[in-house]
Amino acid sequence: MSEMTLDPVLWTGLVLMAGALGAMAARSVKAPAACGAMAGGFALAALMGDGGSHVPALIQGLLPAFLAFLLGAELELPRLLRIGRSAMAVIALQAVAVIGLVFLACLALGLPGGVSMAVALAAVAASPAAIIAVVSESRARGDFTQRLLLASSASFLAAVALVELVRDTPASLAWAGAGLFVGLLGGFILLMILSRMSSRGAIVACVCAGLTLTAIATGRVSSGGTSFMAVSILAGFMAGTLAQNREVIRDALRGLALPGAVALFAMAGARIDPSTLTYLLPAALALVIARGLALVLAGMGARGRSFGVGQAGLVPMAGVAVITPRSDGLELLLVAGFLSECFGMLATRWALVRSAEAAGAVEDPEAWRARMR
Amino acid sequence: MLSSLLIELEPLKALVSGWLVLLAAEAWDTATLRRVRAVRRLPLILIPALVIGGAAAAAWNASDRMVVAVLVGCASIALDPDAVRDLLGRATRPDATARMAPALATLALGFALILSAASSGDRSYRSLLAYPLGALMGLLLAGLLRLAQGRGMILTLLFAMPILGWGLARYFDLSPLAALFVAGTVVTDDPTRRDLVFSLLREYELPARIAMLILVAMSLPMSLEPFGTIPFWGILALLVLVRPLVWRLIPGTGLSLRQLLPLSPLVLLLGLEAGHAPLALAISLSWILGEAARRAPNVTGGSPR
Repeated sequence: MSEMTLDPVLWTGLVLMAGALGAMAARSVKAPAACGAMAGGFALAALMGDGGSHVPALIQGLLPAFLAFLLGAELELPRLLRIGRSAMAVIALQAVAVIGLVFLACLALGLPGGVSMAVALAAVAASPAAIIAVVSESRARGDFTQRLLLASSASFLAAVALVELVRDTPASLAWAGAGLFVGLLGGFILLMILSRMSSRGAIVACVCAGLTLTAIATGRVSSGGTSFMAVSILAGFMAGTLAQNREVIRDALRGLALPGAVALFAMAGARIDPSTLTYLLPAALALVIARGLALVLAGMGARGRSFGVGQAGLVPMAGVAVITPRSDGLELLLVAGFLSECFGMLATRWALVRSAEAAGAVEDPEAWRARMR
Repeated sequence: MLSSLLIELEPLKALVSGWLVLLAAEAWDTATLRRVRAVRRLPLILIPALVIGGAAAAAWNASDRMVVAVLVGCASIALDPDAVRDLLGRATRPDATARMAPALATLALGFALILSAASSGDRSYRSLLAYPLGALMGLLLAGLLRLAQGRGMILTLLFAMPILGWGLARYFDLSPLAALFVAGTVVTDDPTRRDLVFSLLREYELPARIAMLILVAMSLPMSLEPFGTIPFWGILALLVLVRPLVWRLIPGTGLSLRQLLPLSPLVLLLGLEAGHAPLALAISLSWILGEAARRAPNVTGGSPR
């Protein structure tokens, strides 16, 4: 995909259509639509080879930010206060385990120490976009869903903070702080405007405009947009907690969750170069296995403080979104993220069905939960 | 910086513009066209296009006068059906002819989009390929919409198709407006999904319209040079002053002078898509003046919404 032979508009349209077809195929076999979209985007990239192009960075940055905003808005403060403490303990333990095991795995793969640490820190992040895509599509509600949303947002925010911390220039920290401030200010203004709205179209327009302006103001989109995504989660959380019309806002945003997720994951799939995938596949698989093992082992270690089904060993990694400070590990992280998100979304869907919180998954959720216990 | 931002936002512009073009095809199903006797009304609609377009060709003393004639002709019949409907709703006792005015405005806008195909590419018969391309895209979209399950999946397809259609039309150097409008007419004729599709398109019309206006405003050439040329003012006068008068001279349209003043926002894309900077400015200015006239207080004392 080195040559740009197609117009970006045509390429974007092709990627979106491939994603939509993949999503339809995935839904027909009861798999998450985003998974199919990712496969569709990847198939298109493989088919086009060097004839492909690129999707503009602003669009690529805005889609995960929109989903991150929705994830933030879906967090319910009263529930979080009830279940948050036990879940946070498990998440912290898992983060430590992931950093340790992934770091060792990267060293074993022959990566330099600095790059290994950067990849290990980035691997802490669960993918907010993947989680919210599956949760929205399953129309899941309940404690386990909230734990999952909390795990993905908390681990993502932690990973962003850690990655910023290892950048050794004070300027990058100051820049991250300034971006966070602009984002929070933007989120507050957005909240003021949103709380006066009742029309779905107007709410969506307002959120999209707010995110676009924040993206341009913070100037983070072209460099990966991780801080911007973190800010979007916080802004969404503010809107979902403080706004009086929070249910109207959530409902309006949920309506666009599926198209947004399909577009995002189709673009993510199309970003993976098939030739890179071939030579990085063993290393990426090792990374994914190390991360999964760390999550499960840490979850088993903290069995008394229940996290939920599968102890969140199923949380997909945000490899596609998180940009490490050193570009050496980026390709590996992208491929590992691709694999992890694909399998992770399947596992998340399975977990939501098993927890009986996905809409229509089981006829009698209470009986089902009793049987599972 | 602005130009790089605009390049980044190109897919978004294609999405919102295509969204509004698809929506413009809502009343273009076969049954409605038969009911409003579209074929019989076509000559009436074409009169302003021919008169204004011909006058523009005479005023524009350059090699690209045919493009200008087609674009100004299209702009002259691109009425705003929503504005016509809105103003009709406020009329005290409209007669039967006046009640048909929104249907006529919808027809006129559709013909404007269809005829805009002639302004694209090498201006030869090849530009007519926009119609088969649009029909193919419409068939593909209608087929996929039938297979799609749930509102979310339909929205996903509706997001993908305008961008893909826009990109394909531009790839083949054809008019995206004409191609997407034809695609929309094919979808309109599918009774199984028609209502759901157009209610979804309608639901997000406002954000799409706002986004399109912002993006068009950002894309307009930042130059005062055209304002110093006589053809520019000539075309502006044709669209703002002569156009409503020509329409008023046609019998049986049922359109009041006030209904004739506003132009559809899609007209803004005509000049931009043809890459004709002075024309794009003239059309944009006439759209702004039309909107201002629509919202101006009534001479009788009433204040429009």
